[in-house]
Parts: sequence; structure tokens; C-alpha cells
Amino acid sequence: MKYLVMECGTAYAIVLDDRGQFLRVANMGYEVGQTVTDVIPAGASHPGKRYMIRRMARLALSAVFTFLMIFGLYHYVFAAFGTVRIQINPDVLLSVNRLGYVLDVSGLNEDGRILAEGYGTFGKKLTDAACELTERAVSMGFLADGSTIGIAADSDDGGWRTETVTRLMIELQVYLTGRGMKDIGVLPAEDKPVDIPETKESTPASVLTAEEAAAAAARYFGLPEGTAAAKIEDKNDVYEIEFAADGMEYDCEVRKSDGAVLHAEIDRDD
Amino acid sequence: MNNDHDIAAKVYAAREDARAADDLVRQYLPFIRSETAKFIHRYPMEGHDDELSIAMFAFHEAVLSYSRLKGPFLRYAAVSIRHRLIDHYRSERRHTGVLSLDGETEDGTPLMNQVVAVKDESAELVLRTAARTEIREFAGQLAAFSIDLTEIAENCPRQKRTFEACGRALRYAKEHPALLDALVSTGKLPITQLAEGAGVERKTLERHRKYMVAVLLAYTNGFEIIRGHLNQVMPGKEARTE
Repeated sequence: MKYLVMECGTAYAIVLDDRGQFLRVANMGYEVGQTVTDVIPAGASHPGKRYMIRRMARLALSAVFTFLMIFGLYHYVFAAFGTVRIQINPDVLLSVNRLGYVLDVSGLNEDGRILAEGYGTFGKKLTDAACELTERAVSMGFLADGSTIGIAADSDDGGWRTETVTRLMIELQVYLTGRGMKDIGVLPAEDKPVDIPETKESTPASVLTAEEAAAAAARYFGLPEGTAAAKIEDKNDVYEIEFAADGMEYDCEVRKSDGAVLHAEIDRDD
Repeated sequence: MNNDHDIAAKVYAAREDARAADDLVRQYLPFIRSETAKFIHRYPMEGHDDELSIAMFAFHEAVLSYSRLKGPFLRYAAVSIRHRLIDHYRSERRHTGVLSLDGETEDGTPLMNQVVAVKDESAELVLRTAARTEIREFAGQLAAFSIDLTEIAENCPRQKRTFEACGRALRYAKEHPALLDALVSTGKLPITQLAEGAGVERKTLERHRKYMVAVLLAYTNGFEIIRGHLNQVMPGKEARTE
């Protein structure tokens, strides 16, 4: 096919082919009036679809990557991996993420709430938070020489539980020794962080009534005497009891036989 | 980011106009050179390297086809350039084994010297000069219809069926010289007569009005070189001469 060059721009030329079609083609150094036999027409290699498909694929990949990042971030940073209970006299429960950072601290009794009040956990490692809470307990007069600190950890990961308790005991002991408080002992509490060591009302020989279990649970949480349970469910050997007070939601399982609290959770009441 | 925004604004202003797009090509020649150099691994020379011409054309096309949905303009232009150059190399590869007249024989003699019929360069130059003068005149007459050659290229029918329909209307006009005269005297394309006479949809002709005007004009005013080139669009009959 022959093409008559009709117009020349910097990058393009307008040519007329011998079938009568005017075409915009690449200007390969043409001159007006020249006849050429081989041209590079417009549109033949437009990246359009190919480019858009690649672009869409890249976007989809970024979306998946972003999702995984967010999911991973949530999983590792914002989701609680376990809890650590520190019993000084103030009883506090710390939620910890997979990376070992404290997400939240709450008091499990009245003193614990006083100790935890106003304490910021943002960006704090568990060991730092434990040392700082101990320091606060000393300065608030909750902890003196001769006292004992109990440590318990709870998580689905048994290895994490053991390791956390051991590490915290060592760290706290070293910290207290450094502070000149060698007589304060740090001991592991029971593996379950929410066990009540003893319940005065427990009557091994008989089974607790729902009201008695609720009263035991309220005492456990340090709630005022007579706080009414929002919900009590009888589940074979245990009562599942819920309280809602001061914008918090308290859930626990109380064993019928002795009033021991087997599991407890405290959340913000949204 | 702001820079991208400025470029996009310039491109949007130029994308409806091939000449404005050409101005952008000149403005962004350093960028085009750089993209070409990335591909050929050396600095491209204007007028010597086909790759640079192809890259300039790719940039030009990128301007005309750009939309903000395609991301930052320069990245889009870079992709266009790369694709064009890749296609060019693929096409060149298909032609490997074909000897170039610019090549040499084993003993270093230019192949061109072995071609018996060497083209007559002076005759070609005369013909080219005549063609240039005629095309300039043709473009001037088209301007009286407020049409330029770039617009005709954009307005030219691409689909085979449409192209054939326009061809039928053009043949009908050639067989009825009064219609060609009407175009020249009134400055308007006699669409109704062409549509009815050639049995072509009026809408088709309206859509390709600029193209129709250009070809009919070539057949009415003695543009012999252009007419001689159009040996297929109206086959079978000699073009009208004044």
C-alpha cells in the first residue's frame, strides 16, 4: 500500500492511502508530498486494555495486601492474645497483644480500680507496665516490705502463659531488688488468672444458690454489696453471671460447689 | 503530586487537538528522549533513530487518549512509549532476513550499487515538490470549509461497512457532476441527494461529512496527484477533469 504524506507535525503525520483513507501515523521523518509504503498508524499499539488490566491487577493486589496488612495489624496489635493478673493487694488485670504490649488495664477490686485509674498503657510493654503498676502501688501505700505479689497469666497458648509468668516474676523481682525492696515476694498465682483463692461463703458440702453465687461474684469484682446481677444462667456445675455497673460489663462463671470464680471478664459496656 | 496535576491539566487541554498535543510533544521531548534511552540503552538522535520518532508518536497518542482514571499522565505516557517500542521491535523481528538496500555485501560494497534500476532522485524531487504545492492548495481550499487535514483523519470511516457506504456515495457524486458543482458553489455537502441517490443512510454521511467533503473536493478541482493516488476509492472510471 502506498501512502501520500499530506501533513507533518512533530510526532505525527497525516497520510492518504490509495484506498482513500486519511490516517494519522507516526512521523518517521516524512515530508509533505512524499510517498511512503510503510507506516505506523495510530491506535495499533494503544496500551488501553492491556494497561488497564495490568493496572486493575495491581490495584487488586494492593487491596489484598492492604487487607492482609490491616488484618495482620489487628491480629497482632489490637487483638488481646492473653491476660495477666497481678495481685498486689490491688488486683489488676492486663490485656496483652501478641507483641507483648498492654492493650488495657482494669481493676478487679476496689483497690485495683484505684491503682488502674488514670494509668495509660499506650505503647507499654507488659514488663514495663507491671513494674510501673508496682511502683504506683508502693507510692499509694498498697505495697510494703513483707508483702507478696501474685502473678497469673491466661491465654489459649500454654507456652505463652508459662513464659509470661516466669518472665514477669524475674523482671519484678529484679526491679524490686533494685528499688531496695528485697522482702517483697513475687510468686506465681494459680494458672487461671481469675480464680478466687478462697471464698468465705463457699460451702463444700452444699451447692450455692444463684443469689449466693451472684453475691460471691459481686464481691469478687469488688462491686458494692447488693449489686443486682443483670443475668444469671444455671449451667450444670456453674452459674454464668453478668453485671452491668459504672459503664462496665462484668461476666463470670461461679462454681456451684464452692463459689470459686472460674472465669471472669470485664469489658466496657458499649 | 501538584506537578502531576499541572501536567494532567495541560494534557486535558490538548487531548482534543492533535496540534496542541504535538506542542506538548515538543515540550516533553527530554522526557521522551529519556524513556527511549531507557529502552535502547543509548541516547537517541532526532532524525536518525526511528525509536525516537516512534516514542514521540506514542507520547502524542497518550495525550489524545489520556484520562485521569489512567493514573498519573507521565507514567501512562511511559507505558505507551514502551509498548510502542516493543511492538516496533516485534515487527522488525518479523522482517529479519529481509535485506536492506542500505546494507553492504561481504566485500563491503553497498547493496544499492548492485541494484540495476536505481531510482531517479531528481525526478522524484520534482514530483514531491509538485505534490507539496498541490497539497498546500488542497489544504487551503479545505480551510474554506473550516476543515483541516487532522480533522479529516479523525473523521475518516474506519469500519469496512461504513467505508464502503461512503465509497458508494462518493461514486454516486462522481457520476452526477452537478452534485460536485453544488459542493463547490454552496460550500455545503448535498447530503440528502447523496443519501437518496446512493442508498446510504443520511446519518452515516453526516457522521463523516468532513471526510466526504475532502474526497469530493479532490475530485472536483483538478488535484491530479491526489486523485491519481486515489485509485481504489472510485474504481472503474477516470476522475473528472476540468
